[in-house]
Amino acid sequence: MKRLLKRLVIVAAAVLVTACDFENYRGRELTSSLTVSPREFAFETTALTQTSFQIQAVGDWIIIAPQALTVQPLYGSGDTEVSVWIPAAENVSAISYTLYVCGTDVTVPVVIRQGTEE
Amino acid sequence: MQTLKQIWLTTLGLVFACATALAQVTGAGLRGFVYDEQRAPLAGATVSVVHGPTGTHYETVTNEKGRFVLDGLRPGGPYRVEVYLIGKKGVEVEDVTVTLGEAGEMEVVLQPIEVLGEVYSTAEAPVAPGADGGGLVMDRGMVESVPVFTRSLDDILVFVPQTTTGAYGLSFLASNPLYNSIRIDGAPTGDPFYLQGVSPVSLEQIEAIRVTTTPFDVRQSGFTGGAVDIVTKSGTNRIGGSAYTHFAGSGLSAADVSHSVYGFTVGAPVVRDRLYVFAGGEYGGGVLDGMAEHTAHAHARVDWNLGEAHDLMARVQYLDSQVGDAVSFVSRLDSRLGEKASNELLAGGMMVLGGRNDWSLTDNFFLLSGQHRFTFGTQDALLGPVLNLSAYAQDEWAPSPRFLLSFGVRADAPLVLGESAGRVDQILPSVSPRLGFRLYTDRERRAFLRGGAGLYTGRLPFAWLHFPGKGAASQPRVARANLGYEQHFRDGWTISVDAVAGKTLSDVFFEENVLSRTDKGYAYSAAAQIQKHFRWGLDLLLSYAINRSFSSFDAHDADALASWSRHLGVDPLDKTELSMSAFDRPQHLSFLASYVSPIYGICRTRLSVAVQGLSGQHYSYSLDDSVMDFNGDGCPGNSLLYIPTEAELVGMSWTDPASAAKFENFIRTDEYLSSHRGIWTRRNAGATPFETRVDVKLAQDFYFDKRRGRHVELVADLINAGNLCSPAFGISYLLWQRECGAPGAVNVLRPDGKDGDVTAYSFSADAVSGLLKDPLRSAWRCSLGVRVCF
Repeated sequence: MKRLLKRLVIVAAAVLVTACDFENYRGRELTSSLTVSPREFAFETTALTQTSFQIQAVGDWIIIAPQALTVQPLYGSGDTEVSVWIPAAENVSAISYTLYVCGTDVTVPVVIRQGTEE
Repeated sequence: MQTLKQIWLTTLGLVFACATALAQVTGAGLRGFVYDEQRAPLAGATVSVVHGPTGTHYETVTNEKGRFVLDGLRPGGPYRVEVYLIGKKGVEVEDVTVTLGEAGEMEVVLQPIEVLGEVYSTAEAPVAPGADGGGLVMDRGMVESVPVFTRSLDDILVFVPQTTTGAYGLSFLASNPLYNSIRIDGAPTGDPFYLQGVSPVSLEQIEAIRVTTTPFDVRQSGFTGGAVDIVTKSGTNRIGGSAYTHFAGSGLSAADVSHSVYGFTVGAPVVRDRLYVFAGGEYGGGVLDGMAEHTAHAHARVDWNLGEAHDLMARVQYLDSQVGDAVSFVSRLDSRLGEKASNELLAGGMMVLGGRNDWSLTDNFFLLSGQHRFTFGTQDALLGPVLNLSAYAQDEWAPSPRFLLSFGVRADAPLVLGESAGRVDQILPSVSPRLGFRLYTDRERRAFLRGGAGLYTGRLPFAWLHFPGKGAASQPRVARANLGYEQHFRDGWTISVDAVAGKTLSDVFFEENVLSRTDKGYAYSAAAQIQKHFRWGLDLLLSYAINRSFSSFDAHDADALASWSRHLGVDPLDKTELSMSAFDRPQHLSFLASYVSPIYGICRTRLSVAVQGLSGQHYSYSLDDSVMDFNGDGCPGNSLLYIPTEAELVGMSWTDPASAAKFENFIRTDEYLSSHRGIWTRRNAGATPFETRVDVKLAQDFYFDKRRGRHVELVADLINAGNLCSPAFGISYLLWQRECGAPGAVNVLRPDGKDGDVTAYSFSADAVSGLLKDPLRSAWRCSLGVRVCF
């Protein structure tokens, strides 16, 4: 009977631990450490322009960019070269865009200036 | 008597087996068969049963099939049972106990006088660890062994495997807590919105509790959740009682708690073996996590044995709490009309002071005929403006000692009295057939299969009848089926498994302030339970259950418009889509070990350890559309969340890029959201973490008159003991309560914009704050008490 009792307690503990562990999900957050270079671009022309920058990270990141820019890729993981296509600026002599590379509690702005102020 | 005892020494035997489901909801019973040595039925054998504490005598005679049935017995015992017939040696069994709502099954063989008897098994009381249809029967011993804090009924009921607790109250089979039925001595405790959250009876007054979810007895109705039947203590031939106090305050808890309980009980015979009185009173009150609360119970009960054939019980109770005051009464007359018939007449009432009154009158007539036992009854109740007329008939057919089949049908006709514009004026009648069986798989009837199916009709809370109905309203209705197996081993172990499945036939659905209905929804449950009593004083109860429930509307607000406006959805034209119920908490693990020394001197120690493990509570992911009505249903604050893919998320307009990262992390770290990207969330898709709690009760008794059981008891209840060891243990969580919008929903995103055009999103502060710990339930709490039993 003692053996049965012991088994009972072990089963109860195992069920409890399994149930707790099974239900408590832990996902992978964005990286909390990332660097971006270069962080500023300046183009004299207002014509369609393409450039790129480098992200160095140990985990996942996302980029929040203005609708006007075409950024590839917009999310990823680890060290990545990101390409940016800046559209031709129309009816203005200069324009500025800021996109953000984001992780957990870290947001790195990347500024792109096109044209020259009159 | 001496003769009978001598006969017992030389007589022959009997078989006691497990209890049979009995249509007793306020009492217990005893039934069985009497045979001769050739196992031929013996007609005319007298079965005499005497309740020791009160001297109440019950007697009947076996019919031509050798069958006997005795109803209306007081739960518990001990009873002395005698079976005798001229020319045969009689049988006497001492210390028989019977369980509330169950019938102890006896199979007696009377031998000729000259032959020595054979005892097939020991004459132990029948044990019923699980009520038919999924549930639990709890006796006084279990009630006293459970660690409690504020001495609430819910503290006890959590040990029913099919039970879950949460922000909305106590739920059975993960169904709406408003659809439970709690009856005390057979009388309902009134509308669920009255006295909500208040324990309807003091624990000290409880003799036994029976909880079922799928009973096959047609007399049981008025619920689509669980049926809780409580029988209160009665007086006995002994003058006795108790005075007690419990205290919890600063230094005894990690939470802001100051709570005291004072109470007494007293019972005495007025006329020995005839008339008894029992009375009690209890006041409990204080501050729990900043909330003042109080409850006072006063209770008096009279039991009168009117000769050999009739027993009369009358009870009156006064309840005063922070949510209301009520006076209730119940009176029951049990009559044994000869050897084949009996009757049960029950009248009850509840007057909520300043509110409505409920009245009920029930009569049940039982007739034993050969292998059949018929029940004919009527149950009429005036519940506020609704007169509910019910009639039913049932047959329990026992073609053999190993098989019992019950089938019956019940008809309910609710009538809305009076006319009032703009409210429900008609409720549909209902017919509820039931079928149940019990099949013993061995000769000694220690193992059996039980099950059945039926339709169950609940009661619409009174508050909802104030709103206009979309056509005739319907009471909540479900169809349920149950299959269970129970095995009593010779060494005292008992195991049982139960499966219950249910389909919603009708449930409340509010369309704005119009009471409508839906048939969407289903639930299922699978539970396993192990019980063991060790002779050296240890009792074990271990159960594990999976209770799942899916619904399209979880009404938990008295106000229809509030229920509707807080009902989350995507499509404003169809918010009836099926989702997990708000009351669904899938896994429930329950463990209770209690030890009390069977041999003791003037000191006796009692120790109980209870473990409760329960899945987290569900909540919905919502849009904080307090600025704009995102789903366009005219009610801000009830739009479900769309879970964008990574590509969609980075393409959205954000007021702040950090918000996007936080939202992305929120999705990634949530099991449901991370696995359902690119679709709209469903209602109640999220869940708080699994909760585990360990409670301990230690009581030390000092006997100053052991013969009469008089003693002083010092008791300490430690709730959430794990939290005392580490703040990380025993954490419970609250559901988000938003100022604007649905409770039980977390605002994840806030869209800014106008006229449905979103200009930018931001991550909501509600989601940033994360899960909210329940400051009271997450903290260890200790209560100290003294009780004098005399």
